[in-house]
Amino acid sequence: MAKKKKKIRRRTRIRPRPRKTARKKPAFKRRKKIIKKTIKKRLLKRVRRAKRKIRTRRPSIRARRIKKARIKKRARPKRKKIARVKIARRKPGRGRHKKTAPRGVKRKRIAPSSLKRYILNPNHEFYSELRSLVLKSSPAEKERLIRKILRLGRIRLAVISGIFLNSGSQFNGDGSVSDLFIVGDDIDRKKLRLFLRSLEAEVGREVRFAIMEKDEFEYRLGMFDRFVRVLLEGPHEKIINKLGI
Amino acid sequence: MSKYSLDNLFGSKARLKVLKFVFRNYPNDFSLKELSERVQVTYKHAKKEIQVLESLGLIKRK
Repeated sequence: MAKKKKKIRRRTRIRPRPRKTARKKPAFKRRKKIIKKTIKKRLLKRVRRAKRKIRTRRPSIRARRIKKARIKKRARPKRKKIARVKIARRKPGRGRHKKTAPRGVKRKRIAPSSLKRYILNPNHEFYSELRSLVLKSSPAEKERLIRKILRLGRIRLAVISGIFLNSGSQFNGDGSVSDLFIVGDDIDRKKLRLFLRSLEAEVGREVRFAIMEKDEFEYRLGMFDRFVRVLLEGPHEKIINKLGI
Repeated sequence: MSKYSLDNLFGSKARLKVLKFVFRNYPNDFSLKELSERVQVTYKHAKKEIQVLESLGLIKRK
């Protein structure tokens, strides 16, 4: 019987002992503390340096020269105001530098860039060819559009018309109500905004866009809503169709 | 992505975007700032593309 007792004791020893010391802090918290400390140190260093600078600042040689020149200038009799122009030291054509004029010549004011406006030249030899090339919507483009739209949420229906159909780039000659119509649930507003922005950038023009949830769309469909009716009766293309319309 | 062949053909996405923009907005004129904002291209690149197209004769300065 005594042997049995000994055996039991051995078993209990093999089990792990409860911790007597406090647990170690997780590494992240320690790191945070260290980071805080170093940041504090750096800030204090900077403040100290700044203070030092204010107290013991000697003007550099260049600063002294400039000061002298200014004093001389003030002592001179005042002339008419001429635009001060830097003499270009770099060779022309290298890098960006303002166009300079010899001293004594008034410099023209540069007009803001929004005054220069550009417009397409329709009398170009390749105008029509380029136009049909650039505005053609290839199936690859549609695929990309489909993929992007599907990422927005649970999309049931996506209808494109107007700008996206081949010859529909002239104003609203199509008579279509909207260029892109999406029906879906749980659509992320942020993603939607980004998507629209990139779409407008690609297309080059404002995209008339409409979005609604599935229930609303089905309700409208049942009520023969004008918008939905006109959209689905006019020229359009359903690029995503999970409702089976 | 080689699927999108046109922007490889034209040389850069920016150029294609600019061209699309210009063709779609035909009777309307635009400034460089507008172009860079609408097409989401940096001003620098927009200016370069416009210079190229101007030298071709596709774009006139109004």
